[in-house]
Amino acid sequence: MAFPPLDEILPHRPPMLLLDALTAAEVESVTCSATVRAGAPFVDGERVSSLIALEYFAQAVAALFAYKARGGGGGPFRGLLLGARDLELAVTHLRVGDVLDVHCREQWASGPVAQYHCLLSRGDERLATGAVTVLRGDPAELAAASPAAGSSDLSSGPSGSDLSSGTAGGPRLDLVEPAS
Amino acid sequence: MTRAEIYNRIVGILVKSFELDPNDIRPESRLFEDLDLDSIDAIDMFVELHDVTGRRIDVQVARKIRTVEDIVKLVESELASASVPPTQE
Repeated sequence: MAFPPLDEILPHRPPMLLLDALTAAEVESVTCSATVRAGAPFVDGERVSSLIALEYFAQAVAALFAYKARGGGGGPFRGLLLGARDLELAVTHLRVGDVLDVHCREQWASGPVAQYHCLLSRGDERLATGAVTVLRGDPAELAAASPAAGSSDLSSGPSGSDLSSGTAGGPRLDLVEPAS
Repeated sequence: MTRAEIYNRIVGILVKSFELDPNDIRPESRLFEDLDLDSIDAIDMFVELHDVTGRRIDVQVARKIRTVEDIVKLVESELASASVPPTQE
């Protein structure tokens, strides 16, 4: 099955488009390929820190969003990486020339919030695993939909008691209604 | 699963996932103020609860949760819903 080029479905552009291609897709998962190249962002000489796995994971999740949206699934195109959990790196560095597979699978989703389990591998070798949590949707649009501008399920406004995160001017993620 | 079993399971999740001291966790403990969780922690917790209930907890329901006891009630409710067969029409 032929998949669309990533630069057609992702907002990322070289050199920050780190993935090469979408190679497999199911309803709630995708696999992408990536190659570590000399001169690419974060590559130092002949190697790059394996922490780059986090960006690979984020871009693979974005590819899943975009592919689902393209398929008429109504998925959002943009998102915001909120955090990572249980990130385990089996190696300290990747090498220039490494050909990698980046796989992500949806673990949990509700409304605009979702968590994905991700795997970075080189052939049969597992290089990194982790769970990334994302906010699905355009962050600017989600912020604009805050109560100050209208109403939103995401944000319950300023409160000292809600479970909230986000930065000033950025989208808030309130999972608990403020105390009345 | 009894209420006590649910409570113990939730305490186990909180201890394992957020490195909390089990002695600090009580039914009336508030997640944000007393246990110092944030919204990202809450998402991680809901992922764990999905493993307990087999059901995805809706954000609208999640927003109502404030205490450990609230989580126990939520899990009880989700487990009860999961055990009810769909209505035949």
